This record gives sequence, structure tokens and C-alpha cells, in this order.
Amino acid sequence: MLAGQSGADPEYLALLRTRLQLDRPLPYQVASYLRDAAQGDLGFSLVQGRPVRDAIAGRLAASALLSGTAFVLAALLGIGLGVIAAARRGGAVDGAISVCSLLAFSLPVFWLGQLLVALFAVRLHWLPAGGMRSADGPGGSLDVVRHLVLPASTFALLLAALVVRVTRTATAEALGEDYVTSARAKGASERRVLLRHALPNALRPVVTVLTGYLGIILTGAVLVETVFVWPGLGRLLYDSVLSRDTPMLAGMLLFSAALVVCANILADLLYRLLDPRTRFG
Amino acid sequence: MRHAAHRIAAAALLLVLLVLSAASGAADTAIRAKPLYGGTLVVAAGDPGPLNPAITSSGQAHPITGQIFNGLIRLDRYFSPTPDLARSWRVSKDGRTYTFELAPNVRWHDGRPFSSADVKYTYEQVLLKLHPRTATLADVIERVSAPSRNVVVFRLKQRYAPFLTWLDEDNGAILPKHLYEGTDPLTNPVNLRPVGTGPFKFESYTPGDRVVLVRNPSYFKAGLPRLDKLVFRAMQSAQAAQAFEAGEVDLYMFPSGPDALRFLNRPGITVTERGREGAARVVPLILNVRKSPFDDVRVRRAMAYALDTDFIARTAYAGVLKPAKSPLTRFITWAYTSKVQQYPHDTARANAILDETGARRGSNGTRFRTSLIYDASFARQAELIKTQLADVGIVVDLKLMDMNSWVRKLYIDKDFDLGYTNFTHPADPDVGWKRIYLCSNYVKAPFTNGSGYCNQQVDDLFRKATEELDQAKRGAIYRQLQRKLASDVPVIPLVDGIGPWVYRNSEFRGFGNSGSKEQFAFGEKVWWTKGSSSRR
Repeated sequence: MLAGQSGADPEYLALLRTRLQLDRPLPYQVASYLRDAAQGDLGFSLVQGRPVRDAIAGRLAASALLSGTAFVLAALLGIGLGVIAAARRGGAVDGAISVCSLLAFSLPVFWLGQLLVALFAVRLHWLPAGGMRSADGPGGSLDVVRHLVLPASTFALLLAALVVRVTRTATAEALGEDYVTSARAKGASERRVLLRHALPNALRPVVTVLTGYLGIILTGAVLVETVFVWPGLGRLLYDSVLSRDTPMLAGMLLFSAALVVCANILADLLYRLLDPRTRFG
Repeated sequence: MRHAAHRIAAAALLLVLLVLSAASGAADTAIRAKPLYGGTLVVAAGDPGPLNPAITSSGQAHPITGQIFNGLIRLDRYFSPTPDLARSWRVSKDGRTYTFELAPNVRWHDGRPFSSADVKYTYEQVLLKLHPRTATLADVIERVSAPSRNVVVFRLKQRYAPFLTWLDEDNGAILPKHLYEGTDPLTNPVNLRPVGTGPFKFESYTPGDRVVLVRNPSYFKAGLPRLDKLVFRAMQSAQAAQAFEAGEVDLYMFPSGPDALRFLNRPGITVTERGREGAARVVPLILNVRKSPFDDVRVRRAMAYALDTDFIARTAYAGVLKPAKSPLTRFITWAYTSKVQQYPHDTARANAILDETGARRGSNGTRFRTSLIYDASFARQAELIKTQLADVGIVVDLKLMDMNSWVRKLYIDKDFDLGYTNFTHPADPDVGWKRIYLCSNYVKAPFTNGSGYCNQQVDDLFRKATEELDQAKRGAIYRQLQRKLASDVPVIPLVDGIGPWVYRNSEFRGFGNSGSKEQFAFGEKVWWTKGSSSRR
């Protein structure tokens, strides 16, 4: 935690050691951490100057806004384009969508992000270069939306890429199933076949991908938040690594583990919704 | 006055040296427009963490806390003390008692009056215990007393020449006793909504995003500050450069070398080192002189000849830092000299000396193998050092690691051949510079004497300089030390300088008037060119 500081007096270091209980035996340190964590106390971050819990809570809204927007955009864009590609399998549209999604999938986010900033903020002055609110001015929700456009679209583009590919494959597979043939046989329109019969059955792997994202959204956002100076959890994580803020990192590890567990429970619930035959237990 | 002559000489020297600021900085002094009032300055800085300047030496926190708090004094461009909270001071004949008279009618931002009790409390309970640098002063200060509301007296255990240079906001910010007394200063929630005496009052802090400060209308220095608001946005360098380019940021605190060059010679933009003198340093290549073959001074000199510091400064530092001509930074003008043993790049000479030492080339052309420990911020330098030493038959294995790891290896475990370090020589050679060479400072603690160099004569000279209160005589001692150290080369000085900072001079003026640590004090005097001529 002294990484950012220059020079340190030995007595000062000794004092810190005692205060941080680094002089206690390791098992004692672990036990007391777990005891406190169980009571919702994740410790105090000297780097941030506040309790770890407060530091995480303070960044949660910004992260949720960015990741949530990106997530919804990615789901809509990804499933939409995936279905279109599956319906026009082998055609030019399918080809274009596949190439684009592959490109988006392999683009490094910092490169794409910097490029978008250079174009829309530095050259065209249409959108702000970074941050969540203007430095000066009226502010308000419109201001936040303006700041949200670039990071959310960058993030969404990256998340959508895989969704497109999975949706396309699953839908294409479903279109070859017997129940699709029988739906066609009873005279259902091609549109109805696609949206009512094939898509719901194709959604399971898509749900797996999307809920998987929920878990990694914290770490996935590190790059996007860093490039766009977004005051969310991803940057907190990055900064904490750089400053070796151990209490903060341990707290975020616990938090993100909890997030992954929640995402998996949500995925199971969604499976049940999509396919009533799914059993719990 | 001796001092005046000194300053003129120093100013002339600085004019020559500050090539960077010559182009655009001159505009500032040429235009003597009357300051205007109002406006918001947006600064790209780091994410500061707790805003308690008395418990941190963090370069992220002080640019912000420096606008909120004051120290007893401030250091001018030549590191001479000027008034801040103390409006005058005198030193007793024995050089051990410093009596400060405090400025009258100073109030904390919450309206409570400031007094000598705050100074006494802050030193005794916070600075001398919890400030990573100032805690070392506890060995020097015998007691702090407050005989009356506006007088503070420091009694020292011995004569200590650099004492006044410790008392600025960076190392000696004064906290409000009424908000800290009886609490733990490290975790006190006031650290996140600080109350100071400075030109700006704290308004809000959104971690990872921004700190907003507003003008203190009852600042004790009449007519100051001129701006209405300061906004510090937390940004990494690449983002800060783009935000500056996009016009969203007016002042960019810590540009990288390439970024600084990118903005050089642009109309409306100043790239300057002026105001950053307090962060000057010589970056040394540290040799483990307790280990063969570096225990042989001839090997060390040969390596100094082998290294092309001009090339390193030009490429690895983009010319922003200059090749070092002395072990001490040229910015401490009263002590600096370049009349020391120089090691111009000379491969043939290096080879000849190495042959002489018996470290002959083997059949593969190698004299000996060694290794360099460093972190990513020194990566380009390390590559250049490897290449240049290879030319004289020294093979360097590069060991890239994170900073904490090399600090441990170099300073604690002493398990290294070659290393580097990056700390500044703040304000006084006794404080930042001595620790690199002092034999008694060869201890297991970070940022001490890394090379293991030990010379009783050097230690004695340093001690003499600590106790000598006459600056001219002290300067002479330090020049003698530079000559000795340049000849012994326990470390090879690579580059000398400071990173510049960058601001929009088309909209903001008044920079260059707030001393050698202006980064921590600019808010007081800077003004907006589009402001109004009077305070509404």
C-alpha cells in the first residue's frame, strides 16, 4: 500500500504493521477476516480511505448502469442479428453478419475504445471523451446518457459478438428439427416458425452465454471503464491491483463470487422458464 | 545582498536549462494583464484516496489537498521559504529554536478560528507520527510549543539546516485540531470531506471520478483565489491526453514523455517544468558495490563511459529529461555543480579500462554476465542499458518485475547486481539526496542507500552540511560531495530533470508564481482569461 508513496520512516512502518494486525499470526488474521466478512464488514481500505463495503457500494450504481445497458444492448443486438443470420443462412446477409461479429469478437477493447474516442470526441466533438458527467455545466440524466453512449456501445459490441454466433448456430440447428417441419406442414408462416417455434428452443445456449456474462461483467468492464474513465467497479479493481490494496481486492473477490453464484441461479430459473421440462434438484 | 546575486545567477541558469518552457512559457510573463475573476479549471489528475495531507506523501493526493490546506511556509522556485500560514519567523543564535508568527484572522472552512494549537496538535499527533516522510523529523524536533494564539516555537535537538524546507503543505500541512483530536487520523471520516484553511473549500468527492473544490470567499490572503471552482478528474494518462486534446481538461498534471512532446509548440498550450522543481531528480543506475566486479571503481567508471546517457535521455525520456552531468539534480541551483568528473560516451575507453582490470573478454566476446532488476516504467531504459553494455562485453540479463519486488530485492534483501530507483531529491540535498550515499543509511528499508557505498569522508561531509546554516557554505560542501561521488560512481547518474506539466494558456494565466511545488498550490493565483474584472 506504500507503492504510491515516497520514502517511509521505519517507525512509521512498524506502526502500520501493528495497526493492520500484520504482527498477528496468519490463522488469526484469516479467522478475524472471515468473522468480520460474515457480519458484512469487509475491512477498511487505507488507500480509498473508507470501509471496503462503502467503496464497493459507491461504485455499484455506475457499473450497473454501464454493464446493464451494454448487456441489454448486447442481448437485443446479438439475438436479433443471430436470428436474421440463421434465417438467411448462406446468403450475403449471413456472411456480412458473421464477418462483423467475428471482427468485433477479436477486436481489442482498448483499441476500439481509443479509436471511438479519437473520432467522436477529439475530432468531431459530438460526444465526451470520458467520465460519467461533464466537469462543469447543468448535468442531469441527459448528460449521463451522452457520456454513456460510447462506453456502452463499445462494451455491447464486444458482448454481442459471441451472442450472435451462438444464436445463429442454435437457431439454424433448431430450424432443421422435426417440429419445425411439422409446424411448416400445418401451414405456419416462416416468420412464425422462426420466432415461435425455433427461437425459444434455440435460446438455451444463448441464456448460458448471457448469464455467464453477468458473472464476468465485473472483470470484463475493467478495460472499458479504464478506457472511458468510467467510475465503476472495474476501475476500482484495476486501481486496487496497482496500489496493492489487499483488503479492497479480497472484498471484491468475495463480491464477484457472490455475483457469479447469483448469475448461475438466475440461469437455472431462466432455463425453467424457457423449457418447463427442466427440473430442479 | 548575497541572496539576490544568487538568484540572478540561478535565474539565468534556469532560463538556459528550461528549454521546454522557453517557447510557450515566455508568453505568460510577457503578458502582464490584470487578473480576472471567476471560472472553472478542470484538471486531469489521479484518484486521490483520502484527502488528509498530513498522513500521506502521495503525489495523487497533494495536488488536491494543496489547494485546501496550507503549511507554515511555502518554497519558492529556488527552494527558499516564503510565508504561508506563518507570516514571519526567526531562528535563534544557536540555530535550534525557530519561532513562527502566524498570519492573523485565519479561519477554517467551517468558520472556526485557526490558531497555534492546531499547529502544535498536527505536528505532535499526526505529522511526526503518521506522515511517511515527516515522521523522520521526530528525531530532530525536541518539542513544539504554542506560547500564544499566533506564535509557534519549534525547539530542535540539534542544528538542522534543512528544517524550513520541511514545513510546506507537502510535508507539513496543518489540520483542524477540533475535527481530529481524539480520533484516529488514518480512518477519520473527515479525511473524505476535508476542512482546511486554503484558497479552496471541499465540495464533493466521487471516487474514481472527480473531486470538486469551490472558492473560499474568506481566504486569509486578500483578493485570492481568483477562480470559482476547481474540478479534478481521475484519469489515466492515455485518457487524460485525449480529454486534454478534446478540450475537456485545462490542466494535465502528469503527462508521459510522448504526450508532453505531442503538446509542445501548440498554440494556446504551455508545456513547462516551471513550478515542478520540487519533483526534480537524477535517475541513477545503482551498482551493488559490495559485490564483485562492481567493488572495483575502475569497472564502475568503465560502465559509466560505456553508457550513452545522451541517447538514453533522447529516446527513453523523449528528451524531456536531460542527461545527468552530476549526481545531484541541476534544479537545486545553490548546491549544484557540473564541474565534476564527466563520463562522455566512449566505448573504446571503457574497453581499455576493463582490459586493465583483468575482466578480459572470453572466446565469445563476453567479459562478465550480470543482471538488472527493474519494473515496466524503466523497460526502454533497461533495453538501452543492455545494448550499450553489450558493446563493451558486459552481458546484462534483464529481470522485469513489479516495483514492490525490486524494492524488496534491492533495498531489503540486497540481492541484485544492477538496479535503478526513481525518487525525487526534494527541496534540500540533505533530505532526498543524502540517503542514497550515506553509509549509516545502508539498512534494510526501502529507498535508502541501495548500492552499499560506504565512505567515512562522505558521511562526515554530509553531517557537516546538515549542521551548517549558511547556505553558501553548505553549497560548497555539497559541491565537494558531488565531485567525490562523481569520481567514485557508486551509482551512475543517467538523466536529470522533471516531467513537465501541460495547461491551456489561452484560457488560464497566472501559472509560474507559486513556487517549486506549484502543482500543489496553483489554485491560489491562477485566473481565467474570460473572467470578469471584479468580484460580483
